[in-house]
Amino acid sequence: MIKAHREVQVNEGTISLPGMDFAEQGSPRDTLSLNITRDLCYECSDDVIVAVRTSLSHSPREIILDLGDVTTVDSSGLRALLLSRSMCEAAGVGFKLAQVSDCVARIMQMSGLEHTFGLHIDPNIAERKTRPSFCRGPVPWKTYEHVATSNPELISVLRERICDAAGEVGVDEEILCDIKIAVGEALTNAYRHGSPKKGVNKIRVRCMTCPTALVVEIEDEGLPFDPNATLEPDPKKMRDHGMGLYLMRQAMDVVEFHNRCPGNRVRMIKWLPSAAPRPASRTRKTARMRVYN
Amino acid sequence: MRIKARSIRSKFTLVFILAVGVILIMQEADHVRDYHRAKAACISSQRAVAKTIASALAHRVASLKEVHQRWALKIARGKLSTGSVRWGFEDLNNDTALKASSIFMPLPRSADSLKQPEISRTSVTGINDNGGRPTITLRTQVRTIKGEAGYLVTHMDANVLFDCMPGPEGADGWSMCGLVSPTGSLVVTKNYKRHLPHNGAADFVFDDPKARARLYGRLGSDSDNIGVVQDVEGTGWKVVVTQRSTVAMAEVRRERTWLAVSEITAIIGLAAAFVVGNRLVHSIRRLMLGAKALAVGDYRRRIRIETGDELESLGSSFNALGESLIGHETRLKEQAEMLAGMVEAARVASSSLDIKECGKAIAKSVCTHLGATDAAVFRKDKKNGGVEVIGQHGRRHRAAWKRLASHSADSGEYLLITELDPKQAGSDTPAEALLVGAPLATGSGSLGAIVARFGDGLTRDDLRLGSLRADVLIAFAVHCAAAVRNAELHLSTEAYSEVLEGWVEHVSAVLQVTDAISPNLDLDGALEALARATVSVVGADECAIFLPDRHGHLTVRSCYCGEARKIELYQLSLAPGESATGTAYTEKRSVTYYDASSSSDPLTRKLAEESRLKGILCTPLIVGEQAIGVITLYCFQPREFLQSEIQLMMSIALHAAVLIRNASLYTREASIAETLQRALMSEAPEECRGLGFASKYIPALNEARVGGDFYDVIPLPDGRVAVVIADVSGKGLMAAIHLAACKYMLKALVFTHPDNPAAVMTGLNESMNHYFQQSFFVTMFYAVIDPARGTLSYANAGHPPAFLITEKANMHTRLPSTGVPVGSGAACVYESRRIDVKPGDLLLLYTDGVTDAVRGGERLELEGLHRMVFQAGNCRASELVDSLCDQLECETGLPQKDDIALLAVSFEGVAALVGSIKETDGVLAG
Repeated sequence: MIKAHREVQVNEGTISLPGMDFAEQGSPRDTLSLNITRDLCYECSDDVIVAVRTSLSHSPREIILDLGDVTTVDSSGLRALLLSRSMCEAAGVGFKLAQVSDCVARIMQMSGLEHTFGLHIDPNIAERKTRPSFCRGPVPWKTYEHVATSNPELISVLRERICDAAGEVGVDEEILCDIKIAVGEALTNAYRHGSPKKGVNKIRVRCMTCPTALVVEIEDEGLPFDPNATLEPDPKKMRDHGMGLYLMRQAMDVVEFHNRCPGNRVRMIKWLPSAAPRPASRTRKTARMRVYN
Repeated sequence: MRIKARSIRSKFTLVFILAVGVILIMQEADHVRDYHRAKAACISSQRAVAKTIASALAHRVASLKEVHQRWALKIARGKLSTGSVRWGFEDLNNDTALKASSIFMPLPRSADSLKQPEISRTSVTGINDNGGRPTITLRTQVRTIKGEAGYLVTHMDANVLFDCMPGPEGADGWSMCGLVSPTGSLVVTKNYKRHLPHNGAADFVFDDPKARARLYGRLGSDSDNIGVVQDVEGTGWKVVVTQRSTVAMAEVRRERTWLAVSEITAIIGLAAAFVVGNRLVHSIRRLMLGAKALAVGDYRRRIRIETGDELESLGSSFNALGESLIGHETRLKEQAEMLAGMVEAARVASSSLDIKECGKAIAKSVCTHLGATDAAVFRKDKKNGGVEVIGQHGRRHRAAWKRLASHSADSGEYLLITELDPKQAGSDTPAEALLVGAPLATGSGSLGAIVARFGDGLTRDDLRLGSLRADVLIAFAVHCAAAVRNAELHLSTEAYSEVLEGWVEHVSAVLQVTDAISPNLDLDGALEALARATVSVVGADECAIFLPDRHGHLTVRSCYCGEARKIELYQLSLAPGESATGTAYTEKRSVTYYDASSSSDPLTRKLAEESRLKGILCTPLIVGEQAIGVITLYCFQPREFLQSEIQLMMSIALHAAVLIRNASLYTREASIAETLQRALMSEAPEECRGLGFASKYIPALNEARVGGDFYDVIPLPDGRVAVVIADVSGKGLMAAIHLAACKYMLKALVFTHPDNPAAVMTGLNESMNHYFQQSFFVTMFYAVIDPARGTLSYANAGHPPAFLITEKANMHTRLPSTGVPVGSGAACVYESRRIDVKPGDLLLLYTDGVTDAVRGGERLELEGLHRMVFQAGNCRASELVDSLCDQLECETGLPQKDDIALLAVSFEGVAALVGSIKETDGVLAG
């Protein structure tokens, strides 16, 4: 009996289709499960599209993207998922997501795509709110600074470093997820738009943590832009641009853009829940956003 | 209408023309009035004549008619035969006989209009062509009783008629009298002038209607003829009397002649008045032009008026006015020249700063410009009282002048006295001269006086106070006073500035020497510079600096002289008190010799003779109370050292002594520090437990010889390796001492807490705060690398962040400060951080000399270092260090201001060691 479940691994930029031979075995209408072992980010989103397209050539009945190992998805990843879904629809092939983590679910919920992918979000995730917390007395800031060349491989490294720093403060999983989303978007932007000479321009990351807040500053060497010019994106029409800023504003409490310093610098602040709850609440929809030129 | 006549001449002309015009108009009016009067008189007389003639004629014709009718009646009644009769009658009034002839001319019966014997009415007709004679014809139709009918016609010569007429009374011959028949023909019968012959020939017969009209036209209206017409009663004839107007107006014309004469006289008178007036105007014009010339300053203009009247005298007084003005002008010019000369003289006097020259210039200008024969300028003598002469011109002054000057200067008044010239006193008339004293007045009293003698031509009045010359002289004296004061001040300033210059020279010489010494921090350099500078400043031939050696003997430490002489000098060793130099050293005073070869001191003489030296100046180098050496100057010629030179040398020696002491202290300290640092600074090993090391120490500029940077690699007993880089604050010996203390304290602590960098830092901080009381501080980066586990723990005490270079040199992670600098006084709990390292990663440690290095006016900062490390690329530790050094040298130019220490660690062997972790632990545990 032939195993109906096949796995396609998208791993480190290479696609391996271990069940390449099952087409020859004459069971083309099986369910094909693609197991994505990396975070669905800018650097591997194209790989997913290629993998789905390749899988479609085997004419399966259904394609299931297994996101069990995926901890985060950024806007490029969302776009890849949307593209995959529309490709499958065009080919009359079923499309499903499996093992969606809380973090990915939050992104889906934030971008309003949960129904598109037929996900049922735990209402607790949707209702959660962060509270701004304030420290009294001297703040024991811990600073982490990195300077990296604009290589796509380093985006995930930098993101992990920041997440490590956040982890040292001891934030819970959801906030870590938000931070990961926002930092991933900011880094992707810095690479995509802020580095005219890829591999030569530098990306500077500065992360400051204290028990009540996390501040991330990401500076690139790109030309100045107007962050207000990007509109709220329509989830129905996923685009390449604009989704990142939207997600950043959704995920973080304060997002500030500084142009010409000398490149662009985005500063994002996430208030961390402290032991003493504050009465004032700040929802994501009213997150402050300032622009400094 | 307003007539514009500006000049008198034109007014005269206008009046003249008007007067002539009025005379002419009046004359014309007279003439017309006379003419009409004369004409009226003429006409009335003519009318009288015409009436007379007309009545006479009427009378005659009536008489004739009566005779004729009588005749006719006679014929009709048949009393007379019908033939012709000739008859006449006499005019009783004029005794003239009138002759007339009557003819009866029968008519056919049929033609007879008379039915009854009767005569018809007699008609009188004029017959003109009766043989060219004017005739009066009477015709009457007659019927005789016989029945015969015919006309009786009577003719009578008209002239005959007129002859019997009385002539007009008093009438001139130019009058004319005539008859005009009822038909209109004119018969001129009588010309009273011509006395026409009585042959009956008339002068004019006007049958021609044109001529008649002309005649009538003339009557009463023609200017040539005047006439009247009178009807002759009972005949239908008219009498005309005419007279030529010229004749009629003869009287009038005569009167007009007289009138014209008077008019001409009046016109001539007017013209004469015009001419006279014109001449007056001409004179006035000349006066006016002259006045205008005066007004514009032409005083030389003269006017010539030779009218001989008041105007002429006015002209001459005008000329006199011009003359006097010229005189005034000349005087004014003279005065202005005098003033200008004095002003120029005052300028000349002020421009001279020498008081004698100034006085001379003043005296000369008084003579030149004011006309004095001799002049002298006196100045108050402040020391001795009285006055002294500072300049004179002309003859020498005498005692009287001095007294006058003294008096004038003291009183500040202008004095004028008369002096008898003694030279000419012997002659008959001793010449009097006027002597004038003018004070040199300033705001604070007078400085002296000008005395001048005025000889020929000038009177007392010319020089009296208030006269121009006196005023000028006084004003000039005031100016000169300022000039004299200037000169006096200049004298005193020069004296001061000489003293000052001496001081400035002195000070600048000292400065020159100290400037030469001060850049040299080491003793030998300073001494050499001192010797060279001293020789050049004082001007000696050789200079030697003696310092005491260990045994207290003075030996030459440095000198400025020839090479051969140097060897000789360096062999010299003098005990204190020996020779001139020794004396200066022990007695702490300068010792000089004019000629050392003749000195009383035998050693000095001997040394001098050996080296052929003559002049010697020894100056002790004194710090506080202690002599630390001697500067000795040698000259090859005998030389008397001046007091100022000795003082100068003392000053130089004072400064030099301090500098020499500082330099010797510094030299000693620097050598100690250098030795110490050399001992402390150990090279990092190239390899240690799988870790590669590369280090570089680049000292700063020689401004401070020893810096406080150090790095160290300390293998720990448990297989780990501690790496440290530190920067001790301060420079020099103390920094080296602190560095040593810090280094060994650290080493002790490292082994106490091998696994906890924060504890090491905390302990070090506490110890340093305790022992050194914040006298310095250290920034330090301390890391412990565990090659077996691939981890790096670090604590950073205020040091610039170390770089962890990962991801094939594509990413730099800064390892930032985790606490305050060590030893800064604050208690601090340092924090350790742990970070994973992989093979291929590099750790770069450095001191702030790198980031403070200046490139193009800007410090490199961390960004610059990042750039340079990226530039180095993915390489080994030693390559990274070399590359950084090259880039630093290339970009900022080494050596730099601050020390630079670089230490790079590569984790090549980390992975290799991961497997052997347990063995190592075991070994160490064992």
